Amino acid sequence: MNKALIGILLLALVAIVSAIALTYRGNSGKVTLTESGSTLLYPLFNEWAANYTAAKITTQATGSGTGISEAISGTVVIGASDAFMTNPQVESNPDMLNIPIAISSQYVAYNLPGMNNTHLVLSGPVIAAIYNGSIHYWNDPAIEALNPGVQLPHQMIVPVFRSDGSGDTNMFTLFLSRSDPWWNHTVGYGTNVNWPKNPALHGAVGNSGIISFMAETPYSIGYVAMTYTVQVKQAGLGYAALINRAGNAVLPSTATVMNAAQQYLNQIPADGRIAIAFAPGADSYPIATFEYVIVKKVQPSSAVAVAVKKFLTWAVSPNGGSSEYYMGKLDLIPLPQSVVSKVVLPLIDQISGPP
Amino acid sequence: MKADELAISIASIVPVAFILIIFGFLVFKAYPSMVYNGIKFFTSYVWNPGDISAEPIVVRGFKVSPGASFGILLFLTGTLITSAVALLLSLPASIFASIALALYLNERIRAVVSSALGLFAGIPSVIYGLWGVVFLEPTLYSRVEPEMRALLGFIPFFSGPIYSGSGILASSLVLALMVFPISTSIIYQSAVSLRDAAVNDALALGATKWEAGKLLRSMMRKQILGGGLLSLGRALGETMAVLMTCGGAINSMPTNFYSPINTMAAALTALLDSAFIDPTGMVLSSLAELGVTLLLISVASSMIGRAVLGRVALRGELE
Repeated sequence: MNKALIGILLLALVAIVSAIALTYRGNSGKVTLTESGSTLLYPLFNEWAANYTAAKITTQATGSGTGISEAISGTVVIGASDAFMTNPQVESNPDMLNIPIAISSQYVAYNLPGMNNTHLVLSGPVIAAIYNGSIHYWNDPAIEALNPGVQLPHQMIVPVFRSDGSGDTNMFTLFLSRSDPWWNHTVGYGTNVNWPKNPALHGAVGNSGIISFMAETPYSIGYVAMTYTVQVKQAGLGYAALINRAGNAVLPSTATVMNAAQQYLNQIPADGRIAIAFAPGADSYPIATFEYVIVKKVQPSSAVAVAVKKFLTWAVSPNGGSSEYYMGKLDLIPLPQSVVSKVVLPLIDQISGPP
Repeated sequence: MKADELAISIASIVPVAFILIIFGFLVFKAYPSMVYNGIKFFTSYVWNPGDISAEPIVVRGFKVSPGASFGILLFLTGTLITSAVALLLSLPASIFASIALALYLNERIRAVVSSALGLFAGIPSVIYGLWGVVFLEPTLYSRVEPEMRALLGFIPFFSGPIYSGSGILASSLVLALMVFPISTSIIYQSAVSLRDAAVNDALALGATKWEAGKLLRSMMRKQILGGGLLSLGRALGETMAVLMTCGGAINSMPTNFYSPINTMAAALTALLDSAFIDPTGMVLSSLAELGVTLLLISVASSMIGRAVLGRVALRGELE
């Protein structure tokens, strides 16, 4: 019996080894580009990796912070991040490039039993007051004032945040910082912030963690990346129209997020780092962000430099990685061509092999 | 010393050396946090990474983002409360189950139950977490917690708002379930050996099984303590199942049993990614100090547990 067992184990070992060997032979001669970072971008990189043939792409959903730090240390070639590097980070790492790759947004979602098909109207200051606990109940006068004629329940609001450091938190807190002075002064923005002292505040891990918590917790409110549209709908959550800088209530959609991005097209600096939350414009959705890849200017070998330039150029091309096939499937918005030609391609051009 | 003896001695030292290296590394990483946060690290419950986009300032020789302050009182409280409640629930059940197994049940059932205990102890914690999220939390939220508040609301910690199913109660229950097989297998083993050594005589002398059970329990005091401390060590460090069910509280102390909470292990996991974005490294250093604290607490609890169990085993041999 022992002999049989050993035989089976040996067979399994041989099978695994030959499978690995075959996989490697299939990719022989190709450069491998390693990617790590943003969980929001992970499904996109997975799709790209499956279909891109000029190089082998390996992907890892580790979080934006880890992605940036691994790109800086050289552990991976591409760090994917929902937020660009901060000024102090750029100063201590001047050899890193922040390259915009797509546009993303998020829902402010809620679970109001029986009312999730109604789009409530919420504003930055009201959401800030919900998160800091000064608005306690759904039928608070401040919420009712934004939603005349809607019968809101007298139930305690349960606000949810991403307890893991997250680009989604950065997007959300940036909107609140720009639309509410108190929030800007006390809490600020970032992938993790000085959260208000509110005993009702709950943390959940990942977008899927937020969605499942909200689905089982009536009267909760939270923020969910637009790439999770399908899951938000499956969980039966509602989502709000938000008051933008012009004072209009705007629902999230490709068009309204694009409107927000359009407002900044002429102001994007050469280094690509710009926050586009709370944009002006009558029909701009106030939560929007560029997604980034963080790449070293000087790559370890010229073969890797050539491969990563080729891959990133393909990734932002409307006939390549930014086609409707990828972007539509994952509810991301492709960069406008003017941004690609004016900002992104010059940034990609700065990548080179060792001198 | 012969070569093979030398090799064996080195092999036995290597793992210990590794643990010391890890500990030393953590302390080294934690040093800036110890200097910057001081005693407030243990007395404050506010975890504020500061304005990481602003120019870092220098405090007591270390770079830090303006406004940053790091306190782990909430995480420390969460770890201790959830572990203590878990033990309070699981230990009596373990004692009861062990005595029942040793005295009342026949050999065949005993074999099935003790192998089942081994299986339960081996289930990955994420499975317990999943069960907590999918089944336990909705049940707690819609049925158990409102009932508890209605019945026990006159006791301070049992009244007040119920925000969700996640929190102290959910995490404690999941932990109780996870440590039950550990404490039970330890207590059960000693129950069987003590039954053979002494209790069978009592039964032969005409004691009822109920009296024999009471005798057994009084003889096992040390094993119960040891088993409890070992399962405490497990509960203190449990990460995934707690992360999934604790409700991820931040910057606010729990007001009742239904409140969201956070533990040291869960917070360490959740806060790690954003620590890498902090240009000053102070967030990472504070997480390292959190790690050192957790390591010391859990090492202390299992060392005491082993010491108690070891003394018992030794005395058993001498007698």
